[in-house]
Amino acid sequence: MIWMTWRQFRTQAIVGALALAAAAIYLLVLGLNIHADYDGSLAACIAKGCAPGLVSGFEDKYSTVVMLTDLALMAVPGLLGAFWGAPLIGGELASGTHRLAWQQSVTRTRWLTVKLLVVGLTAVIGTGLLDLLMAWGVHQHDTVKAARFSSLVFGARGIVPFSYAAFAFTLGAATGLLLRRPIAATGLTLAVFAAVQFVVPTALRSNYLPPRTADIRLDTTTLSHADGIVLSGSSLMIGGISLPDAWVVSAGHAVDPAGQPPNTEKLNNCLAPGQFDRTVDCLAEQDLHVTATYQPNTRYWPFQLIEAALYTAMAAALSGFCFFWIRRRTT
Amino acid sequence: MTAVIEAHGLGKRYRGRWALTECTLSIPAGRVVGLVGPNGAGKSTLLNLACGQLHPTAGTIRVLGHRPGDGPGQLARVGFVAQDTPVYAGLSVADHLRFGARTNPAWDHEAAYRRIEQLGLDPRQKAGRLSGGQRAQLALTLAAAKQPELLLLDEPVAALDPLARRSFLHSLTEFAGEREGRTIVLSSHVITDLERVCDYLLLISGSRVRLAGPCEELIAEHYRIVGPRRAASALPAGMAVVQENHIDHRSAFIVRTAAPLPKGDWRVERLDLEDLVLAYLVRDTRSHDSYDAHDAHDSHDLEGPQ
Repeated sequence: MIWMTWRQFRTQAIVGALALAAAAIYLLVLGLNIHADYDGSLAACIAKGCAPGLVSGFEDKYSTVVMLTDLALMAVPGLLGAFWGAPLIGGELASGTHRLAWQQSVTRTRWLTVKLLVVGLTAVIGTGLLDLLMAWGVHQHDTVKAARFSSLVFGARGIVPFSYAAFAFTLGAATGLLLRRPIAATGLTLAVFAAVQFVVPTALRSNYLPPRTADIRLDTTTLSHADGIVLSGSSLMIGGISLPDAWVVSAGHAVDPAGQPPNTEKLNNCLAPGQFDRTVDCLAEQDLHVTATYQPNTRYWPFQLIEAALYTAMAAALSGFCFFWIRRRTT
Repeated sequence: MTAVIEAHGLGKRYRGRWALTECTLSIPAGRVVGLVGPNGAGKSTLLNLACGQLHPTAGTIRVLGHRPGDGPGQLARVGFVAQDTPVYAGLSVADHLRFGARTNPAWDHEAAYRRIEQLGLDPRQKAGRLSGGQRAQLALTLAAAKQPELLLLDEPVAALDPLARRSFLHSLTEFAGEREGRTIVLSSHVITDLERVCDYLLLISGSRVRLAGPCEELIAEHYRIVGPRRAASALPAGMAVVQENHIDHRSAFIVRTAAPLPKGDWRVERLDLEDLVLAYLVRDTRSHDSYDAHDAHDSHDLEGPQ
């Protein structure tokens, strides 16, 4: 059965291997470039503090290419699930060859076990290798940027990509089994995987553990790193507040030292459109605070484990469904 | 006589429609069984239930004493050539044989290669490029080389030209003759095909078993009698009327009787298998149209003499 699974999978495996190899070469080149650049500039000064321009220059130089590469890496499990997972059983049902395969002296359960394990593990390992290579290549960039909780970076590093691959693959296998049409199953797999990959980081991830709260003083540093300052009436919202070594989940309205909403008149006086520095200095003088909820950086690996467990559980449930369906319903 | 396939009240429903109902039958070992019936009669359903591809909705079926498809041991004992003889289009003939060898414990490697050679198939040829007849032969080779005790074939020759059909049936007879006690069940709606290879007949119509028994016995027990016009009730006792025809002042009956036919004022003709099957099928279509006197005979005709 193992031989047969490989034999049937051969063409897809060759195409997949070529694509993975091309991606690996690209990641290797990117990684070597980043390493060479880092060694030539930041490596000498990072311990005692580099010039800010040097650090942000290094960060900006690679941030777009790293972001796009992360995005592409996030798509890899979905593509493998769609093009390897969906035809796995769906292709057999569509061509009728399951009627040949299931009449050999091998039970359907064993047939499915071997297929899921052989092709599924290949997908998981392929995805994982790419992400490990990426993690090596952009390690220094990640350290400088210090944003490993951001949606794209979190999903393309650590152990979660392995679980994404397992989930996407079993999702493909299950939709193929259910729809019996591999092309439709391929499309549905991509759509569902994309939806799940959108919902989990935006709605679920920040709640894996109860977030901590912090009182953040709006001093010049905090304000000048903010993405935006929004004022409406006496409500002042600061967008993109950051805390060192933490992932800020949400931030409330600014309050004055007494815990009251800030004086509207004073706020309005501070607003100097087009002169961001003056606004920042003026607001900083008022000694305002916001209450923010955040996930500390020490929770990075617990979060990776929780998310990997979540996706692995979904993969297990989908596999279980495949076994149930192939024995009870595909008759 | 041990039964290879034994079914009691077997039924299968697909999406609310019964494809087979109340099917009770017993197929003895060592026979080549022809399974006949009109399209949609439930032949395919019965074969798929017997190999474990389908599960029954109602009733029970035992094949070689066990539940069909129950574990690798049972799968090894039953071979199945599905309708349209599916094969992997992208895989070569040799790949198929290797697949068979790796998934069946009793695989007869030599026999499989010998058959492929006899058929003149190139082992390197992709199965998708074989002709319909070659594909059917490949499917039969796979099913036969696993050396099953029971081989089931679902309309294997339906799509073949006469030459390929003859060659396929010849291969099937060879397989049956290789070892004592092998049972083959072959479905078809072309009775002449079955006549050549089968020694046992199972007729399904309207999703029920209408007639079952060894071909020789069935032929020996059925007669066509043509004589002066009379009602079916005027015939001597012990004759079951399968079909009757009245034209002007003459009546023709197809009757079944286990006892020797009594002498009478009629001419007696023998029937061949095809006449026999058609008589039952024609009767079924009529009794579906109007429930008349024919229904009275149904209970007698359902089973052949055991």
